[in-house]
Amino acid sequence: MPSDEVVTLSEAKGLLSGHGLLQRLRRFRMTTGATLKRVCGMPDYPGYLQHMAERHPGCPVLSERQFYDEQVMARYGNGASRCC
Amino acid sequence: MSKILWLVVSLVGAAAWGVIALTRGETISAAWLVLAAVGTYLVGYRFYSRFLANRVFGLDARATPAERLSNGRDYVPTGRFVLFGHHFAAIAGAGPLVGPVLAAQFGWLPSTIWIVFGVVLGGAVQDFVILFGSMRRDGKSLGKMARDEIGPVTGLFAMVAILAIMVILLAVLALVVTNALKDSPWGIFSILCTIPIALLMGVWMRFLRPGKTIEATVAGVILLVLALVGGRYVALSPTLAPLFTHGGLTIAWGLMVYGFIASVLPVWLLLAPRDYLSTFMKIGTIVLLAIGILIVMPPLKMPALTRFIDGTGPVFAGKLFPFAFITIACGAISGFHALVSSGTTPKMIRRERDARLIGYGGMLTESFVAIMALCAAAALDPGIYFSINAPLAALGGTVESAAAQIRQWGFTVTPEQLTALSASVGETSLLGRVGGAPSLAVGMASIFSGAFGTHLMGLWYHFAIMFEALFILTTIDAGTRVGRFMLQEFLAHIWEPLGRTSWYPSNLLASGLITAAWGYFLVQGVLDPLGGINSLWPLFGISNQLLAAVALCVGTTLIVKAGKRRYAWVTLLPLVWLLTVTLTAGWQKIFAADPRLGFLAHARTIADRIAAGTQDPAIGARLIWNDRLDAALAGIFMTIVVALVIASVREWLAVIRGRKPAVVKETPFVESAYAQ
Repeated sequence: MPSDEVVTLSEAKGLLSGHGLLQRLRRFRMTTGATLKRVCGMPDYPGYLQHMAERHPGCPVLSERQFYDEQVMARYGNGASRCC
Repeated sequence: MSKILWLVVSLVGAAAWGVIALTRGETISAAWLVLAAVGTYLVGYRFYSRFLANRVFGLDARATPAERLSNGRDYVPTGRFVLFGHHFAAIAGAGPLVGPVLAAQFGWLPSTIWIVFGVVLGGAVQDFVILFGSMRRDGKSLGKMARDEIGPVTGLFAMVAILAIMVILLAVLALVVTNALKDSPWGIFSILCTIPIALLMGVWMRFLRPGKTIEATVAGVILLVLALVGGRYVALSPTLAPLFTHGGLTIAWGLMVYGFIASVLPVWLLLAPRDYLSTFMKIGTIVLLAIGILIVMPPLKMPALTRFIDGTGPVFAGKLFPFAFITIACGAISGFHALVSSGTTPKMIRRERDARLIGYGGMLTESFVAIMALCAAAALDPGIYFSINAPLAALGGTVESAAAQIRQWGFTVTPEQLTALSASVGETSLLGRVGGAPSLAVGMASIFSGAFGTHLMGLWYHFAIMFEALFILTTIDAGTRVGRFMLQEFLAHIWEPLGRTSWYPSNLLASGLITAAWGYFLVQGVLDPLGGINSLWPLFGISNQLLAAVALCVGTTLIVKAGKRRYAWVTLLPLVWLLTVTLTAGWQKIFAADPRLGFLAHARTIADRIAAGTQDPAIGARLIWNDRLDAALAGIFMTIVVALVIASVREWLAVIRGRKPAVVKETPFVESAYAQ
């Protein structure tokens, strides 16, 4: 679904640069969400999109569902190392 | 200015230790423990961890694996406070909560000293050195570092040790849950509800709204609270309550079936959502507990030292030395952390210097959790504490017999108090609920209801039970899976297809074997007339501390090979202490003449009873077999560690005498692009 991905990618770029109140609010929601996700070890899709936009512009990106599957497998697939 | 500040911090900490030291019989407030601990942590962090970071490890401006290998997936440069939270959530579990509660039978003083100084000089150093080593090697695991830096045989030994420890850990944690849920319809109902809630979240995050993990988890937490409230109605209903009332054996089998199925299901369906849920709950509850303790500042009713330091305690056998130091592992020093510190965390560090806050600071925070658990247990009336934690065989089956026995131990409690307590938390009886979780839950519930309203005691109790059971079940699920993968790695040497993790029959076989292994110890623990905890927990403590010894051997090797051998004492000191403690404890558990303490002596007592005709021979034979098995296991742990230490010492000597070049296998230096 290339069209879907292009929309999300440009959305992420818009979020990073906008200055309006609505954009600020959404950016706040995005950063707190990202913080919570990182703390709990959850996949962070906007963070991944940002990484791809910065480091590999123009490369195809995974859809949110593909990214989620891959992340969950990577983290838990061979058993999470977890403490007593 | 900062000098004055640190002087004040040090003085406050020292003053709190002074109050603790001068206590003679009178009750003091938990506030002093908290102050002494926090003061020591701050001083330890500011001075000792800085010394480790600058002098010993030489953290510098080189690029971390997260920066060099950044891929937006597992190698992600992460802000230090966020990563600190993540690392803490990964190392904190049931261990730091249960250990201090059990060790409270010696009184609160020895545990406090061990938790606070053990972490500053031992546990936090271990976590930090392994995190540092792994960070300099692109995030290599502990086993791989042991193989690369010490030798291939050592690597194999470390793997076998980790697998055996995993089995004991899973058995003992499952036993803690079993004892907490036995004959408790409220508890069983709310824990059972966590399974459909997790499944629902799994489907939500994958199919309904892909990737929306936060909203699914928040919904899950809300459903969890509803299940908790619903449990009360189930317990009160004459038709529903019997459906959810089960004995220990049924629960044990249920846990095994759960562990087996959960470890072969796709991870997105059960494991991932359950892990998110328990991480949320864990952080929330620990913050709540800290606030509760700060508001209530409960007086410590437990004496500073009890008479049980002589080894006659009912909770577990053995003297203060060495058993206090293996009963409290997580919270002071825990080998398991080495697995986390060489897992996901080193791949996410943004700047090298952040490792100090994350590795050393994260472990200090875990130690603080242990101090809070200790406060919650020591705030209970000692009579109440022993009525919950002593085995039923010692207490007799009624509140009257229990009260009489506890009076004999020198503590006062009336049968009415015991009945009133179990009624207030919505249970039929709390007598002999060994394993630590129920008494911690009573302690937490008293603190919470003291801080946030007294009429909710039952709800708080079951909240605490659910919180512990939730992450123990997560550990069972994840641990069975880890064990399965390790076993498959071994099985591949016997017949190659057995090692294929994508081959379903092989997965089922390996999962079945691992579940059977921990399930065996679990069932024996349930059937044990003394409650099982008093043989399994020491075994777990010994194995976990021995894993810490392995990690410290690796740490020392890294330091010696980096040409910093004049600083090798930072890891050698805790290593020597741990070896002393664990080898003594292991030796006593195997060979002590007291049948309450030594496995072999216990086996002989049972054999004598069979010969005298006072013991059913079939049950007796099983008990004897288990004693010998436990003794053999303790022996194996000790042998592996001694072998590992010898291999490490030879390696150090070779480097020191110049027979081997002092070269570390670190990834080459690359300057970081981040502002330092």
